[in-house]
Amino acid sequence: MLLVFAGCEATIVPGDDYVPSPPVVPPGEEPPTPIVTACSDAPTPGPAPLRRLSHEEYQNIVVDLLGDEALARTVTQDFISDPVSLGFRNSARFLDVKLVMAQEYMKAAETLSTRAVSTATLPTIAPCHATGDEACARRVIEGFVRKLYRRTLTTDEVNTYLAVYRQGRTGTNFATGVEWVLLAAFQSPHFLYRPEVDGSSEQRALSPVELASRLSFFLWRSMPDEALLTAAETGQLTTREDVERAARRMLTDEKAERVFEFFEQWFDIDELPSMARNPTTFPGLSPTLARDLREEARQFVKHAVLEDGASLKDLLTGQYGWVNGSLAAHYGLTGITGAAFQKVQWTSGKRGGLFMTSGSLISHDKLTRTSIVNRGLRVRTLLLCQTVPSPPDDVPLSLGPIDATFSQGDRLAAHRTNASCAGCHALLDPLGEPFENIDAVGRERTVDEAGRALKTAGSIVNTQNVNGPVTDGMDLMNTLAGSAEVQECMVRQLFRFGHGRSEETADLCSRQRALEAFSNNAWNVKELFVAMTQTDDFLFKPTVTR
Amino acid sequence: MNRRKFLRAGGAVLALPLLESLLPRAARAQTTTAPRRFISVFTANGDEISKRFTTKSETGFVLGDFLRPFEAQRADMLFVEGVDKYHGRLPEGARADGHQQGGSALAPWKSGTGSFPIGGGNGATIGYVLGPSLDKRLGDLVKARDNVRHGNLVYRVGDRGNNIWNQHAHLGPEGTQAPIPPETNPFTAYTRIFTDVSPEAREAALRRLSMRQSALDLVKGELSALKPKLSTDDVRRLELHESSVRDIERSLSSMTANVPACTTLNTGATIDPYLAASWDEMGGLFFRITAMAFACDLTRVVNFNWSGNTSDRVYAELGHTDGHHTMSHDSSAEAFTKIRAIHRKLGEKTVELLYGALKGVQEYGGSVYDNTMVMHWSELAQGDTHSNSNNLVMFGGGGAKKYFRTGRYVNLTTAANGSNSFSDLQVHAFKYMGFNDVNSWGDPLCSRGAVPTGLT
Repeated sequence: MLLVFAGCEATIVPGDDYVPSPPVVPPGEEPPTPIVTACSDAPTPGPAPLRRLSHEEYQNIVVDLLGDEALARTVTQDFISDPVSLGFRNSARFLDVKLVMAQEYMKAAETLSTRAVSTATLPTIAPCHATGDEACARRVIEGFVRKLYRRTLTTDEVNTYLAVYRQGRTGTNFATGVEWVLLAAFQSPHFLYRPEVDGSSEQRALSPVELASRLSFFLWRSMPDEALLTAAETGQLTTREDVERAARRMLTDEKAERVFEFFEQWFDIDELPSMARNPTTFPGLSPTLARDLREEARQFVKHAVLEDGASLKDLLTGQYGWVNGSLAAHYGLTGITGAAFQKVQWTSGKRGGLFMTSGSLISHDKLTRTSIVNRGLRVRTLLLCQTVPSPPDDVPLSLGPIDATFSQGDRLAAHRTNASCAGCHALLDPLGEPFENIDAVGRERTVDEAGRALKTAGSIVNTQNVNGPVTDGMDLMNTLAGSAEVQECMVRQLFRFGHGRSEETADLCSRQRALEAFSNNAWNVKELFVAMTQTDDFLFKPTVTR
Repeated sequence: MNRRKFLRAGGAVLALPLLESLLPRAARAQTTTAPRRFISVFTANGDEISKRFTTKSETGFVLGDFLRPFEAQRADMLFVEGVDKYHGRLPEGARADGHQQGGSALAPWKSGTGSFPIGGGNGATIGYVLGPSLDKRLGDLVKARDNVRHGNLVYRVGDRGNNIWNQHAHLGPEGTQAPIPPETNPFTAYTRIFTDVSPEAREAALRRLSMRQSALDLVKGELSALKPKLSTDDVRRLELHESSVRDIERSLSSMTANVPACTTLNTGATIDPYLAASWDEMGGLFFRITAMAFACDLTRVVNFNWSGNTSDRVYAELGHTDGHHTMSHDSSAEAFTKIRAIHRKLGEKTVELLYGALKGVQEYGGSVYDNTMVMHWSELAQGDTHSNSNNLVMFGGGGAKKYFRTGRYVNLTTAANGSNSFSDLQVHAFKYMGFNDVNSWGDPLCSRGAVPTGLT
C-alpha cells in the first residue's frame, strides 16, 4: 500500500481535525494534556455506520458456530477482498454487498447450510432431530438462527423461518427443511450486518444486546458466546461497569487472541503473503518464512499484550521475540528446534518490539533489498499518524547519473538534492535509514546487500517533542515509544479499527478519555482495549441522520 | 402460474416439459446484428514518451520498439497521443497523487477524503474518487437498454488485496466513494457468471432454483424492513445489496445456454492465480472468459487490468530484479530499457491472448473481435516525471475499425478541435456503444468541454 515518491514539495501539515498531542510525561505520573478540553458528562458519540461483517469476522463466526476451521477457510477463501481504508479492511463505508459479493455469500450459505444438516453435524444444531417435526425446527430457529442474529428472533421472524422450513420440508425430510432455513439465515442482513435498531432513532444508549455484539466483535472479532448473550438478555449488561466486567472476562478468553487482527493490519503484517525475495540475493530461505514471520508477530501480541500486560513502550521496544526451529535458524539462533514457538531474548540491541518484528519491518521491502523510503513512510504514517502530501505531477527530474557504487542511502541523499524531491524525502528517509542494520528478510546485518558499510544514523523531524538525531532503529523506537504523538496515534488507530471508520471531531472526547485511561494505566495496551469500551462512542449511538 | 408461485408449490417433482418453461431462454431475442462490446486494458506506470514512435505522421507512423507487438493490428487501430488527464485542475485536497488519480482516470472525478495518508491537501487524508467509472456507467446504460445480465465485469491480474492504488473501477453515483473490487481469480470469475451454461441435472437445477429463490425472498423482505430504521448512508448500502439480490434473481430466471456461439470454456486445471509465474496464464484466462462472456451476451463491457497502478511487480522472466514501479522512477537509459521490455511483453500477451481470443469465437458471420472495441491506457504518461499530460491511448479491435478511422496516428493537441482531455476522449466509447446523446463525461475540471474531433 505504500509507494516511493518521485518528488515532493510541501511539508507535513497535521490533519484537519488534528489537535496538538500532550507533552511526553513519565508513565503514570500525571495525565496527558487533553487533546480536547470541552468534554462534559453528556455523551457525544460520533457516527455509528452500519457494519457489515468483515471477511475475518465471517470466518471467525463459522469457526465459533461449527468448530471447523478448515470449513471456515474454504467458504471464505474466494470472498473478494474489501477495499482498504486507513490501513484496515473493516471500514464500514466500503464493506457493501455488490453482486459479486452477494453471489459469494450465496455460495457460502449453500456450503454451510449443507454442512450444518449433514449426518455428522445435524445432531449438534438440532438435538431433537430424531423427531423430525416442526417443533424441532422451531427449536433450531430459536437456537441456532438466534446465534446468527446475535439476538432472540421476534415472533414474526420465527414464523417467517417456519414458513421457509415448511416449503423446504414439503416432499422431502426434516434435514432438508432445516437446510432451507439456514440457506436463508446465512444470507440474512441480520447475519451479514450488525444492525443497531433496538430503539429510538434519537441519540441513545445502546441496548444490552447491541452492546454484547459490539464487545464480541471488538474483542473476539466474532459473535457473542452464549454467556454474553444471556447476560445481555437478562439485564446483566446495562451499566458501564457491566461492560467493563464483560470486557475483562473476554480478554482472558482464548478468542481474544484475535485482536492480533488489529495489530497485523496496523503494521501491514497481513501483507506478508505477497512477500517475494530474490533467491540469488537471499539464498536458502524457508518456504514457510512468511507464515513463520506472521506467527512470530502473533505470538508477540498474544504473550506480551494479552498475558504480560505490555505497555506501549514494551510493545515498541521489548527485547524479546518468539521463534520456532525454522525461524531460529533463519536468525542464526542455536538450541531451538521444532515447530513450537518459544520466547527468546534479543541481545544485540539492534531490534525489539512489534514494529521491528520482521513481519512488520520488511513488509514493504523489495525483492533484493530493503526499502528505506517505505520503512520511513510507515513510521511517519502508522506510528505518528501523520499524512504525507502527494508528489507533484509533471516534475522534471534531472538527477543526472548516480554513481553505481552508491548505497541506497547515498542514492537517496542525492535524490534529496533535487528540490522537488527533498520536501518529502527529508521527512521519510531519516526515519527509514536507522533500520538499515536489519535486512530485507529480517536478519541483523553489518553490511548492505552489496557489502558496503552501513549507515544507521537518522533523525526525527516534524514532531512536537522528540525531534533530534537517532543512532539506529532501536534508538528510534525507544524515542518514539515515549512520544505523545505515538501514544495518541495508537489510540486513534485502535479507534479506527474498532469503529470501522476514520476519526471525526464528534468523537474527540471518546478518544481523549481513552487516552487518559491509557495514561492512567501506565500505557498498558490491554487496558486500552478495556478503556475503549468505556467511551461514549462505544456505549452510545448518535441520532440517525436521514 | 408464474414461476415463483410454481416453485413455492413444490418444484421438486416437476415434469420435464414444465422444466423447460422454468428455465427460460435469454431474455433478449437474438438479432441479426451483432451487439457492440467494449474492453479497457490497463498497463501500469506509464511508458517512455520519446520512444513510442520513431516517425509520427498520420498514416506513415512507425511504432517504437515497445509498441511493435501491435504492428500486425495497426490497420484496425488508432494511436492517440497528446492526451491529458487534467488532474492538475482538480483542487488540492480533492486530488490524489498522479498514480492514484491517474489510475482512476476512467472515473474522472474529484477524490474524496478519509482513507489514505498520502495525497490530499492541508494534511488531510485522501480518499477514493467520487463517482462512477466509464465501464460502470457504460455497463449500466447497456444493461438498462438491452437487458444484459452483467453491466460490467472488472478483472485484474495479480495480488488480491485492494486499495487506492489498484482499484480502477468505481460504482458511483457521483459524490460517492465506492470502488469496485476487481475479480482476481479467473476460475471463480468463470464459475460465477457461467454456472447456468454448464449442464446440470434438471431436477437438481430446479431444486436449487426454488431453494435460492426462497432464501432471496426472505433476504429482500428483511432488507426492506431494515431500511426505514437506518441513516441515509446506510440505506444506500442496503439498496446496493437489494440491487445485487435482484440481479441474482434475474440470473435465476434467464438462462443463456441457447445463445448462438455461447458454450462452456475449458479453464483447465485450477492453479494458484496469485503466483507470479501464473500471471500471463491468468491474463489469458480472463481474456478467454471475456470473449465468451461477450459471445454469450452476459456482458458487453469489461474493465481489464494487467495489474493495479503503481504496480511494483517484478518481471523476473525478463531478467528484472527490481519492481516495475521502482524502476519507473529511475530516469536512466538502463531503467527505461527495462520499462519498454515490460510494455513490449504485455503488448505481445495482449495481442496474442486478447485479440486472439476475440478472433477465436465466431458469431454473426465473423468473430467477436469484429464487434469489440479495445482501449489501452495507463495511469501516467511517463513514470519518472509522474506526468499526466501527453498520455498515449490506443484503440483496437474490429469495433474500433467500425467506429474510428483507424490505421492512423493522431496527436490530439493538434487535432481538429484541439480537445485533448482523456475524459472527453472516453465519450467516444459511449457513442460507439450507441449512446449518441452522451457528450460529456466526468468532472468539468477534467474536460476541455468538447469531444475530440478528427478521430471518426
